[in-house]
Amino acid sequence: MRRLWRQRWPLALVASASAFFCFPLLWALLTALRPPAELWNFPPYLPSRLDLSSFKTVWDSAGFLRSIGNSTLLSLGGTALTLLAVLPGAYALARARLRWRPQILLALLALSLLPPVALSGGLYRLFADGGLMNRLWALSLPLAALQAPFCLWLLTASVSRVPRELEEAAWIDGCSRLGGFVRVLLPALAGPAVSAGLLALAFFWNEFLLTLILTFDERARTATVAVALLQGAYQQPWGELCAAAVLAAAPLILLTAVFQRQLVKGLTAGFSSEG
Amino acid sequence: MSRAAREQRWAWPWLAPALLLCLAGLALPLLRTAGLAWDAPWSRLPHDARLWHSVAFTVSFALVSVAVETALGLALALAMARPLPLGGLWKACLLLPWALPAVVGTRLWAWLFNYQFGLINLGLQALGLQAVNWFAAAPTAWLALLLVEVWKTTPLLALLLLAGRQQIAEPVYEAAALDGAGPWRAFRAITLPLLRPVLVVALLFRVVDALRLFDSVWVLSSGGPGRATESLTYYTYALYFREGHVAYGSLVSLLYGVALLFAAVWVSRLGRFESDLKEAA
Repeated sequence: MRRLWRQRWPLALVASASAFFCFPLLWALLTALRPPAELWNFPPYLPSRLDLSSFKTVWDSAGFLRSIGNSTLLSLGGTALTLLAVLPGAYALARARLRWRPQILLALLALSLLPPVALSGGLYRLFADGGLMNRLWALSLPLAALQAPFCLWLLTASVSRVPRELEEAAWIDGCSRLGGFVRVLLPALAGPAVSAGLLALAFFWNEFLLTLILTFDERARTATVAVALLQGAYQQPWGELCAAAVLAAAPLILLTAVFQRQLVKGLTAGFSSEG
Repeated sequence: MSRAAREQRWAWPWLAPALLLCLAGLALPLLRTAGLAWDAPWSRLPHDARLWHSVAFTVSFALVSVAVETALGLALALAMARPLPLGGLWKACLLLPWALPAVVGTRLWAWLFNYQFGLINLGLQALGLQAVNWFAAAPTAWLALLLVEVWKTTPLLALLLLAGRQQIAEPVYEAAALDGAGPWRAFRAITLPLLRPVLVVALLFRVVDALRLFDSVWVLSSGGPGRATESLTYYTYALYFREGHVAYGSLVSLLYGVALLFAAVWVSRLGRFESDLKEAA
C-alpha cells in the first residue's frame, strides 16, 4: 500500500489539481447549456437536454459581439504596436555596448512592476482633457507601454542568443544595418517574438482596470469589461453570464491550446534570469 | 565624446520607439498624476485608518496567498517532473486559469459562491451543513478570495518551477540516491538550492502582483463586508473614481507605486537576486 502510494501520489495530485483548475469553466459551460428553467433545480443534476438559448441571447445582443470585436481590435493593434516598438529596441540593447545598459534594463524591470492604478488618475485626466475617452487606439498606448518592458526584457535576451556572425555576414554581402535586421535577425527571432506577442495579446485581452476607467461608452467596451459589468434587471442572469464568459474566454483558450509550447517557453524564459 | 561611445550612437534611434512609448504611456500619466496630487492633504495620511487597514489587508493577503501558491505550485511541479500518463493534458489544464481573463474567471467563481444556487453551498447542504453567505463575514470573504487567487495563479508558478526543475540533471539525483539520500534529503540538498534562482524571480513577480490585487476584489466583495477586504488598489480606485477625492487619491496611488518598487527591491535583496540580475544584464 505504501509503495503504491509512493508511485501514485504525483498522478493523484496532478489530476486533482487539474480538475480544480478546470472546474469553474466546465461548470460555466454546463450552466450556459442548461435550459433556463432548470437553472434553479436542486440538486443540480446534469441538464435534461442541452439548450443553446443562453448562448443565443448573448450572441443576439448587439453589444456583446461588438465587445468581442473591440477586444480583437485592441489586442491585435496593441500587440502589433508593442512588438514594433520593442523589437528594434531589443536589438539595440543586445548589440550595442551602451554604457547605460544595466541601468536601462533595471529601469525596465522597475517599470514593469508599476501598479496600473498609479497611472489611472493621470490617464483619466489626460484622456478626458484630450478627448481620447472611448478611443481604443489611445487606450492601446498606455497598455502597450505597461507591457513593453517585459517584452523588451524577454526579447533582448533572445537577440543576445543569435550569433553576431549571422548579421555580420549579411553586412559583408552589402546589407545595411536595417537590412540585416529585417532579413537575418527577424527570421531568427520568430519563435521568441511569437511568445512575446502571445503574452502581450493575452495581457490586452485580459486588462480590466484601465480599460474600465477609460471606456465608459458601451460601444467601446471590451469583452472582459462587458462580462464584468453584465447585470440582469432583477437577478443575475447566470446562464447568460456563463455563456458570455465562455465566449469571451474562447479566443484566448483556443490560442493557448494551439500555441501551448510557445507560451510556456515565453513565460518561463521571461522569468528565468539566465535568459 | 569618446570613440567607443560615438560608435554606439547608432543604437539610440533603434531604442527611440520603445523609449517614446514608455514616455508617452507611463511617464506622462505618472507626471499628470503627480500634478493632480500636488496640493493633496499630506497631513491626512497618518490618520487615514482606512488606508492603513487596506495596507494591512493587502500585505497579509499577499503573504498568505503567495505562501499557499508556492507550496502547492512546488508540489505540482515536482509531481509533474515525473513521467505521468497523459502528460500534455495536465499542462493544458494548468494553462486554463491563466488564459481566462481574471475578471471573467472571478465572475465564474461568483456563480460558484452564490448564496442560494451556488454549487459550493449546494454541496455543503448536501453534506448536511449550513449554507455560507461567503461575502457577509470577513473570514469567509477572505477565504473565498484566497481560493480564487490560488486558483488563478498557482498554475503559472507550477509551470515556472517545473521548467526550473527540468534544468536539473537527473544523474545528480541518481548519485545522491547511490549515496543513500532519501527523497526528503534529495529535496533539501539538491532540488531546493538549485531551484532557488527560478524560485526567487517567480516569487518576486508573484509578491508584486499579489500586492496589486484588484480584479477579484472588484468582482466578488467590492472591498466588503465593510472594508474588510479592501485592497490598496481597490481603495485608491474607490478614492479617485467613486468618491471623487482626486488629489488625495492621486497622492495615495503614487506613494503606493513607490512603496511597491521598494517592496520589489527588498524581496530581490532577500533572495540575493541582484547578483543574478546583474549577470543577466
